[in-house]
Amino acid sequence: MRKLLLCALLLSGCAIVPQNRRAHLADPTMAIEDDALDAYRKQKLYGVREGAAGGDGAAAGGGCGCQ
Amino acid sequence: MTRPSALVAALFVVLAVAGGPARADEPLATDAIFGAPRPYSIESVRSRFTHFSQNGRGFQSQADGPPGSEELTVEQPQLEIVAHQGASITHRLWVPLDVITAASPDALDAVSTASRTNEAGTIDIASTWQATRATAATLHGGFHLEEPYRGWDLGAAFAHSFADDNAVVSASINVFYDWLDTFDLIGTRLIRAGRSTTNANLGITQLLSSTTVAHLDYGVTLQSGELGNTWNAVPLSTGTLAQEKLPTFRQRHAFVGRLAQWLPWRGALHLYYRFYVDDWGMLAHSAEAQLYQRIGNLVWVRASYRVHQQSGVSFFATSASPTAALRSADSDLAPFVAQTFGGAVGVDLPMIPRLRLVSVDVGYERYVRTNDLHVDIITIGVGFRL
Repeated sequence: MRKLLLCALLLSGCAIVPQNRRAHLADPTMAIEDDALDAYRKQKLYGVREGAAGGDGAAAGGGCGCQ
Repeated sequence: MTRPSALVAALFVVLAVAGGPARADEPLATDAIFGAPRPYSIESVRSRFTHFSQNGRGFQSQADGPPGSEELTVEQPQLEIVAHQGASITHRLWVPLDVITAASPDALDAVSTASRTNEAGTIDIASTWQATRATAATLHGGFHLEEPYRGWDLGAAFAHSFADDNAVVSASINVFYDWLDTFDLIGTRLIRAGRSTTNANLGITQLLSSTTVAHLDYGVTLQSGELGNTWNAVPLSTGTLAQEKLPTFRQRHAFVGRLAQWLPWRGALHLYYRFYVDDWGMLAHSAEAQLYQRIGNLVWVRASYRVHQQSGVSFFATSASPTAALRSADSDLAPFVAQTFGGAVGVDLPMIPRLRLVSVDVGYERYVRTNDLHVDIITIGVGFRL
């Protein structure tokens, strides 16, 4: 079952979506990454308050002189 | 006979003058359509203001404890300016500030300003070179300043798109170096310590259909040096307080998956999952769902829910042995489950002269942990596209 799921995922990943069929993907609500300023305020909270933050592109928390 | 000949000749002259050098079989250059790019132009100016209000108790704080108060407020303004230099270079200037009042450092006067507030600021500049239509490279550098702490960072990133932008592969590396003042448990300022952090990431974004996009990411972070704030207290089994003892090295791994799905009723569903593991014994799962809904062409609303579960570090203790080589009572390193409930509303206004778009959004979130901590967050964003 897991192999089937993986195959389905990989095969679907090979699909080509032409430029003229990307209208929905261009909507700002479909942005795959959070808005940078909104992402920072989230990172500030989770990076400081959760010892499991960091490791994924963000400065790992801890040691901030104020909190 | 002479009149038609004169008419044809006049028509030829008009076409030759109006047509200029272009020919039917030559594609029009971008400059011919949009005009030559300006040498320097500002693309967008955005700002966001966020208020954090935290309450709770943790054994690391000496404020009215143990467990001590973790009361804290943060006022966080941010400003971002994006500018183009010519056709292929983009600069981003980003300045976040944090104005903080916190019970834990105040209890031992680690932050010594009379107003009991600590102002922390960062300046970060990133420049992106669009080398080809499919390839971009970014360099960034930043400086962070607050009362007992200085930080510098440098980074580089690379992105390449394949198959007519159906897939984008990205990689980045970031290096941080921090100086921080160290303290003992009664707030005496001691020597300056250092910490270095190196972080590398690899990601891929893939269009799965005309309504679905997915992203996978792996990041590794290596840290060495003083990895605590140095004033955190640990209750001992003898009934006294002692200083936290942390390892001087940490290796952290994070695996992230994201999925965005367009919904037929003009909505969008975002799913997020993150798995984290490190060599301090911490293992964590985080999952988040966001549901967007457009109302008309200008307004959107968003509801979000996030859950985070972490195992805690192997040396976490609220009653530690006096002989323990490593110990921490920091509630942020404890085992807990955290939930975030949130909502936001935004509006895009393409109607003000000289501005292509003005966007405004307002949001509220409540973060609740099972180990006696909660945070209320209010955020307001304003953006201009010029």
